[in-house]
Amino acid sequence: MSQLDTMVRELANSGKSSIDIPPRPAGMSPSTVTLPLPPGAGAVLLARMKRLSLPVLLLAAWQLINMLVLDETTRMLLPAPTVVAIAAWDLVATGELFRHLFDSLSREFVAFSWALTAIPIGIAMGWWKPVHDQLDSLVEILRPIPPLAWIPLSILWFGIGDMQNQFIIFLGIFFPILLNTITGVKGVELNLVRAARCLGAGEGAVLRRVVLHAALPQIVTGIRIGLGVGWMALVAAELVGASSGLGFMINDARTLLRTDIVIVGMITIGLVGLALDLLIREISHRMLPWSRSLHH
Amino acid sequence: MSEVNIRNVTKIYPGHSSKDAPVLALDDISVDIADKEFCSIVGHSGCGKTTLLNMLAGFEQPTAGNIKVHGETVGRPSWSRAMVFQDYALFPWLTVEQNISFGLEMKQIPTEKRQSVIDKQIRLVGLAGFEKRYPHQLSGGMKQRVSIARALSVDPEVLLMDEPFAALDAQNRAIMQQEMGRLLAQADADVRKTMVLVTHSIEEAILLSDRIIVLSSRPGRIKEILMVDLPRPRNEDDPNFIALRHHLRELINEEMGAVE
Repeated sequence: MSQLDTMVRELANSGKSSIDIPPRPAGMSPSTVTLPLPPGAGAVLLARMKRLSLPVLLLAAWQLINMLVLDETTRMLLPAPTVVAIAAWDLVATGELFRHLFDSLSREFVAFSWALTAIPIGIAMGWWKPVHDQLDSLVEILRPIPPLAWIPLSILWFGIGDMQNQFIIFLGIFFPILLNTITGVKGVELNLVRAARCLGAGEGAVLRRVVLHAALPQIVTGIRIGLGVGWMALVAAELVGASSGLGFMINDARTLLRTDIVIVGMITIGLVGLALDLLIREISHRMLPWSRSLHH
Repeated sequence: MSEVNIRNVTKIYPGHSSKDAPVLALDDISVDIADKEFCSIVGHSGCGKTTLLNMLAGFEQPTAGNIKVHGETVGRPSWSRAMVFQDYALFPWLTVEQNISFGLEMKQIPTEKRQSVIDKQIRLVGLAGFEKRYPHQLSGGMKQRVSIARALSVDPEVLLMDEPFAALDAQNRAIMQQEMGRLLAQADADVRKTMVLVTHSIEEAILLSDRIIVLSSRPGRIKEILMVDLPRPRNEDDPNFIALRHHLRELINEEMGAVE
């Protein structure tokens, strides 16, 4: 069989001097064996570019429609990407964008600092049943009220400005952190607590050295969700109750029909929200290297 | 004087609802464990052996009767009765070294003395070179070594072990049992502890124990107490070992029959 095979191949190859090795599957041939190398920087860039092809296409379509289809009035309502880019450049160059961004971020930060009180409260609720029994109904009543529903009351309480905005953001951040902390504390493995106790840990040490640490991954999840909700609430609060900040900026631009500025503001809000989320994720990966092994 | 006195200990768990009848987990257990003795508790699963260990640790309280260690009634958990858990119960956010250091910090051992204790324990359980690793970077056998080192670091009077090798694969289990046996064979007086081991492995109990307490099933009562008078380190092929294993297996099989 194999002899016949060889003969047939020889006959077939007799005319072509270039092929004198019996054909093998391409991957088997020693000359074509290549180990999968890590892709170079160029290849990575190319792969990323490919993923961006649809957005780029849409952007081009937006630009074309703007130039070819829309008339003067509708063009006002949907400015071309180039117009938006120019507006963005102007806002950056005059420092106006950063001024508003700074105001928004400092409100988010102040509210976040206040909302960190959710961590001790959550630990107490998760750890001591009497505390949970007392506070749980209150939390369950307040939690489903959207932060935005507090805007009218908060304007009457705090007026227009930082305090009112921070209060709304605080509500957005507080509850996700609280609920996740409670869940995290309740989920602490009993044997970890027992191990600590039979190594001599008292109640305080168990809470500080074991429960807090064991619940930390869940608390960080709460912080991520909270900062996201807070950021959304912030923009809404600034739309109606502020004289600075990104929310104010886009609402102010609306009254002047500067739709280009509105879009720049929207994009900035989105990018900053994304950056906040990535920042928290990066920090938690660095600080809680052990938690990845628990959740993945 | 005996180290641990268990006197007429009974444990009843209330039913989950008013319809459920209360469960009698342990019924009138009385046994003394001597200083530096290695004592195993074996029995069919659900015989209450872990409940007994938890009461020794102070995690649970007996419904009736009492447990004394050195004449003092066991109340809350304390470093004098350190526990080694089946699931290791290592703190995942601490390194090997920090896990071992935890109990020393709780005991408020000064920083400069801590390191020498940690080094000694790490050498004892064969973990040199892994001090800075986190538990998730270790194999099951190594995690249990850390757990043993952590429990020994606080210099307890009694070391309690709840199925410490049950979660390991067969090969690692055999290695750990042998090392434990070797440790016991050569251990000098200051390393040797009073130990209480809960296990469902007959071989493990014979390999390590001075005495084996066999519990009956539901309710848990003391069925028999066996002395293991074999030289250490012990060999599973020793005819005496085999005879003892046979006897223990029969005792436990009787209980399995009783449950079914």
